[in-house]
Amino acid sequence: MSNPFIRLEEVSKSFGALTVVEGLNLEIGKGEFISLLGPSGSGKTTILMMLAGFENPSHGTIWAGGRRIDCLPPHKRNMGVVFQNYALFPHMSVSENVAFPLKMRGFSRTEMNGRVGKALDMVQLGALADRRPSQLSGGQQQRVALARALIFEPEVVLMDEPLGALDKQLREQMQLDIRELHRRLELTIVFVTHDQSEALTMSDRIAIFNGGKIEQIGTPTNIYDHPSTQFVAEFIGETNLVRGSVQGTEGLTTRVQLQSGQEVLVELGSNRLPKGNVCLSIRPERIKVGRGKISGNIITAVISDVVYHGDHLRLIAKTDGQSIVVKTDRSQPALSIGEEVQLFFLPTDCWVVGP
Amino acid sequence: MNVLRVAKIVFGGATIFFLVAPLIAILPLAFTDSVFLNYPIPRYSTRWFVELFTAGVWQRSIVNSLVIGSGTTVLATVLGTVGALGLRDRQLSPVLAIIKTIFLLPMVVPAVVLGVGMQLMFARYGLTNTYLGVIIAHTVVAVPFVVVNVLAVIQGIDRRLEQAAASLGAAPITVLRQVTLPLALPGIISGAVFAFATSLDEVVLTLFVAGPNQRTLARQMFSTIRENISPAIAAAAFVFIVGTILIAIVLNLSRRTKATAV
Amino acid sequence: MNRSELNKRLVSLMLVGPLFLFLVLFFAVPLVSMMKSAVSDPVAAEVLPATARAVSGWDRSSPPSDEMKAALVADLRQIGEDQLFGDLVRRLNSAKSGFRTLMPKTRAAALEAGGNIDLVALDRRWADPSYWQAVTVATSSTITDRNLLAAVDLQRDASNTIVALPPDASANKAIMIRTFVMSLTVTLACVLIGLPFAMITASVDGWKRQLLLGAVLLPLWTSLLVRTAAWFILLQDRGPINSMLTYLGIISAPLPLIFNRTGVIIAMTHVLLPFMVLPIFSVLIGIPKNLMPAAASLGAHPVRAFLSVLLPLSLRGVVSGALLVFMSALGYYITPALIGGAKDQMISSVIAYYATGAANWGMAGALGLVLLAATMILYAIYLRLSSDREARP
Repeated sequence: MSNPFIRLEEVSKSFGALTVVEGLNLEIGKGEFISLLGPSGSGKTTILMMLAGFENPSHGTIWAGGRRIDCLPPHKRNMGVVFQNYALFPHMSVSENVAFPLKMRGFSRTEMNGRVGKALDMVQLGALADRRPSQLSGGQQQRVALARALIFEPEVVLMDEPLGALDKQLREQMQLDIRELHRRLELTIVFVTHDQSEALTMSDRIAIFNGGKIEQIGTPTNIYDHPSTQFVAEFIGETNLVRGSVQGTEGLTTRVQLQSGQEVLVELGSNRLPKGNVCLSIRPERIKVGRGKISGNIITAVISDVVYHGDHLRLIAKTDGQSIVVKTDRSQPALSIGEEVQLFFLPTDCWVVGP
Repeated sequence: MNVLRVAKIVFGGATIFFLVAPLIAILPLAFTDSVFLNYPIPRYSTRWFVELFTAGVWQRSIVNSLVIGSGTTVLATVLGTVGALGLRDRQLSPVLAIIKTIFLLPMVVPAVVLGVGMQLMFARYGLTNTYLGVIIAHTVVAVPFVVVNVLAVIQGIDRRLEQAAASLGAAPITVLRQVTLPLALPGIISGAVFAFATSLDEVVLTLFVAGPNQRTLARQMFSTIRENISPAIAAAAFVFIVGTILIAIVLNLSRRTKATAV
Repeated sequence: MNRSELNKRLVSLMLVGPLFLFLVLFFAVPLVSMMKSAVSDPVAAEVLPATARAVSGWDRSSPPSDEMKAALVADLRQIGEDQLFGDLVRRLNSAKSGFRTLMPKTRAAALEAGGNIDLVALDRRWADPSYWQAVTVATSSTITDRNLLAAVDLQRDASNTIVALPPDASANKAIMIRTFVMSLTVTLACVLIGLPFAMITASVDGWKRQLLLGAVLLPLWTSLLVRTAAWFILLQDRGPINSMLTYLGIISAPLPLIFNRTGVIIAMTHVLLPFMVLPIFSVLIGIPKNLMPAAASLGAHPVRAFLSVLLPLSLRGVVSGALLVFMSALGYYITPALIGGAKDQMISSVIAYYATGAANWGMAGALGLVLLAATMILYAIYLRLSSDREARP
């Protein structure tokens, strides 16, 4: 990144003997929506807390907008934070909550009223301005929290699993709303989540955390299609991991012999040329089932289960002890358990995720 | 099984009677016309209440109790609340854990022992027979109640509320004033009520450090019972009991409205 | 530990600082003063400096020398404050009775006549070496174990070995035993009433539980003095209880209920019962409700299930409650002072008597030290038990 807005350099954080974040480098651009994704305990929330100033890094520096901020207290960082439990002040009304950051910045009463009104309209809560947070539904509270974090036009908005407490339908609506706000207000958003589909739908870039380190960082497509490690492949979406050994390379195509003895072609489209034993990731929806002849790789397997999922079918096929999951639409002719089938997939749909 | 039920009802009823009846039995005696505290009450009158609020010694002691109680409440609430704020972490460092134990110790030390020590020490610094001395003595035994009550509430405050306030631009002092203290208010109020009640009821330390000018209502009741019992005691007890019930109701109501508002 | 952590600790210390200082000054220092008064007695050495020097060479048995007498007279003339003189008399009198009359007489004579006066002619007691021995003991040391020894009915005899006080001279040991027995009786009474009551309270719910708990909380919230006053009124010879019993024809003469042991035990049990019920109750409601049915389903008879399941589990509450009650009872002053007779006074009353009545701070301090030590040991055990409970999952 040529001119990052936020830069974390060699940041580490430990609590006593426990190291939560280790030697982390991360750059975030202005106006970017970046998700920090990982299982709990992977250090993603700690990063957010250090950005907000609630925790200080044990080592390393944090820069934002050309300023070094790791030594600044939270109230001087000008970052909006949205918490998982919303953290609305229970003793203040909705409008008092939203006005709080303006009050802290010494705005005049008239300007404050105008801005609060606008902010509440933006999140469609104008009618509830005088309610207490406890009188609102979860989704409404979330929108108040959002309005409160945005009203003072912070340079960065930090969100700590903000949608975790909402039910599925509301969550999807809020995902769209936040995306819309991000685009319209050109916000820089750092979004912590453990929900991979949320990260995929919302982010410009995703940083996958594991054990206090970034496992992979990139655009959603890049991460989904080209996971760099087995952890990422399994954490993002669903995948089949197949082991084999490299037999040889011709141009960009590598021949891999699977443990079952069958041979497949892998096209990496890059300068990465694997050798020795490899682990391949093949997404279930990229595999087709058929008896006819289609170009690409063919694996022969036996159907061991057919699971109905409403909008799609899921086939479990076994080949030499290894299970392969296939996601297929319902136009697929009926298959019965025990039937031998051929699984097709393109060399470009295989990806090497590790040895 | 039925025998057990009956036994439960009888035993529970008898114990309730033992606990509550003495407090109720003396209430009507406050309205006796006689100079004796006996049943049956010959005629009802409010003469003892009149005595309580007009007779020099009683009036004086009531004023003293209010002055000393207010002073104690202010001092204990301020010291106790600030102290409790320093102890709010659930995992206290060893030093703070010891300090917390020390803060609660005045509840445990026998009052007479403390009274002897206070009289010795206060005499050296001219604090005996002064209002300040009595307020200080009462504060020592009242402050643990403030610490306990405030701690119970602030340990329940979500730290993220304060983090949110800081992220929205509030300096630490503002966070304390605008978020922490308002949220701790129920605990501070009940701590203050306990402090006032403790001061009102304190006899032993008052015996040791107060002079005749600082004679409180409780101290006056103590010597009245000891020296020449009069139905004014029943009247004073009546005021105490009714006051207690009123305070309990008020505290309960404030807690309830708080609960619905949050 | 990094900077912010350090900052946080600093802030914590700054917050607890004011109250800590306040309690050191007005809680710890008084207690230390009290302990010091138990072992120190500097008044004689300070007020009688010349006498102290004069008697230091004396063999403690031969007749008192003229030099000693002259020094004493000189010292007595130096004493300006009556308060100080009073303290001196008290100190000397506690070493040997008789000084209370002897000293004011001697001082008056010394102030009246200038020059030398014949002490023996003034009062024959000045010829008695035992009075001079008392002066010697009092002036020779500012630290004394006399009070601590006296607190447990011991003393040092003329040859400085520790012996028992004559049985009529002191009754501290008897008072301690009495305090212990009375506290134990109250604790037992509280267990006997409190345990079943807490069990009943825990076994019901809804308004019944509210009623039972309210009955415990109302007295707890009510002024201790009011509760004691209530019992004072109830227990009188012509009070409601006796009138009722007479009216019903059960008794013909009033039962003696007040100014005796029965009254004190009843009133103290009433006052302390909530401290027994609440800890047991809080343990009991932590026990899963289905434990008794589970025991029953495993074939245990209800009585058997009670004895082997509920009772052992509630025992920890009983121990906590008993410690609280016993500890509080040990230091009780108001209730025994108002409802008890002379033979029912507990250690606190004796301390108060020494401090306010007899102005004998040494004895007040020594007995206070004994009471304080006993209370602190019990409290430490209580804390240990309750922190154990918290530590357990």
